[in-house]
Amino acid sequence: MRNQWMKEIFAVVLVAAGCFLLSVSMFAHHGTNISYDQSNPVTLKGVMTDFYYRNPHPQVFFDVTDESGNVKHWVGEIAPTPFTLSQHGWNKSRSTEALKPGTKITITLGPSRVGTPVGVVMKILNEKGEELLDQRAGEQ
Amino acid sequence: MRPIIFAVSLLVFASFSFAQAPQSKPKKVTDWGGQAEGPAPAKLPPIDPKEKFDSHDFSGLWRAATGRSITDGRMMTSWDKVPPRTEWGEKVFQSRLTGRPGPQKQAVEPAKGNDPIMTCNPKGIPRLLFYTGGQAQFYHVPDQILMEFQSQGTLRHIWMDGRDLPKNPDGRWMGYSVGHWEGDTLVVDTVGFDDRAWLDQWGNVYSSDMHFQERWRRTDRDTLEVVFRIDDPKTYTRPWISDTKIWKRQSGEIREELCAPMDENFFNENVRDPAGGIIHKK
Repeated sequence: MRNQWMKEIFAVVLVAAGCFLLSVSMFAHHGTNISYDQSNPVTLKGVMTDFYYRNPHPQVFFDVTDESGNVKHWVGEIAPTPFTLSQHGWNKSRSTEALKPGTKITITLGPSRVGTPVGVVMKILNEKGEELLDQRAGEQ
Repeated sequence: MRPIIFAVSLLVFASFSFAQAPQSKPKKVTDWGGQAEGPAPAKLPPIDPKEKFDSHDFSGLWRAATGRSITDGRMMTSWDKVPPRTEWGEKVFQSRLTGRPGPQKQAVEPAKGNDPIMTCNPKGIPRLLFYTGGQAQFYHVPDQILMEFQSQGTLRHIWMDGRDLPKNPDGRWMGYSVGHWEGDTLVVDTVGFDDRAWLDQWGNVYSSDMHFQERWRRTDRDTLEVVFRIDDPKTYTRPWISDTKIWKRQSGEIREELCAPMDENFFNENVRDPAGGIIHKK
């Protein structure tokens, strides 16, 4: 009985998580569906090096260091436009402050299908576990 | 046990819905700069069914309704309702590369395809009408209705002084638009296009000979309905009539959403091209 209950809870949470990911990814802008594999997201721990709150899409630049100390430079495309982000409370100054160089992030991306260190951003957390640039209506 | 499952489901979905709402209250004072000010504007008050509105006055800020389907506002109709193309129309369609799923050719490398707007070329009319990500402000002025599109900061003139459409118009990105009222319906006819522009983000085609018609109707205080019609024998073997599109009135203000080539080039070099496997040396 308890197992059945747990299974059902798990199913509910899974559906809710699916709704969230779908809502973030469905309306990404240019070429997103072809360039990025959002069905196989990767989660990375990195350090911000640059952030640009610009059209057509904001961009996060961050470094990921592996266990051997090798650093890989990544770029993430934020699917919503600055306009859409601003409508959800993430104006330029707030976003830039939240992602200033040196900020440690945990970022989930749909990676480039050709294997380059580029991805469409699905979720960004800061060190406190707070979600950054969170919104649910990225537009085409 | 079932009620517990139901309650948990409700809680999860309620939290999901809550997360969609703006998380902070609107500021009372905003700084100059439009784009820079913060939280989302307050929503419009609920519609009072008895509230009167002028069906011949579209003044204000509107936005094509967004949804889950391309037919909600992004394209004339679903793909199965696209009219058969002529040989010319098919040739042009096949020359277009987008990064979007669909029956059109797809650009994996280079990721940016050859959509002209990805180097900041004008969207033009009709494409601006299919951009659901932005807003448009209507103004009624003597002899004209103006549409100011947030996207690319574009102004459109619709002549309402009874003039005829030009006979041999020069091609323009925005075309040449003349409007008139038929009862409560604003009918806008546009000719004289520059056919280098795409109809929509999927690379659908029109020729410079297209006759494009919009039929707008304000159905309540906050809603415009519009149907588009394309007559373009050079491209399609029959007219293409759209589904009914819904535009909703917006609170807040029109924002700056210019396409700056320096920003677009930066994005292409650092994101769009590398995502498609093209790395630019620095």
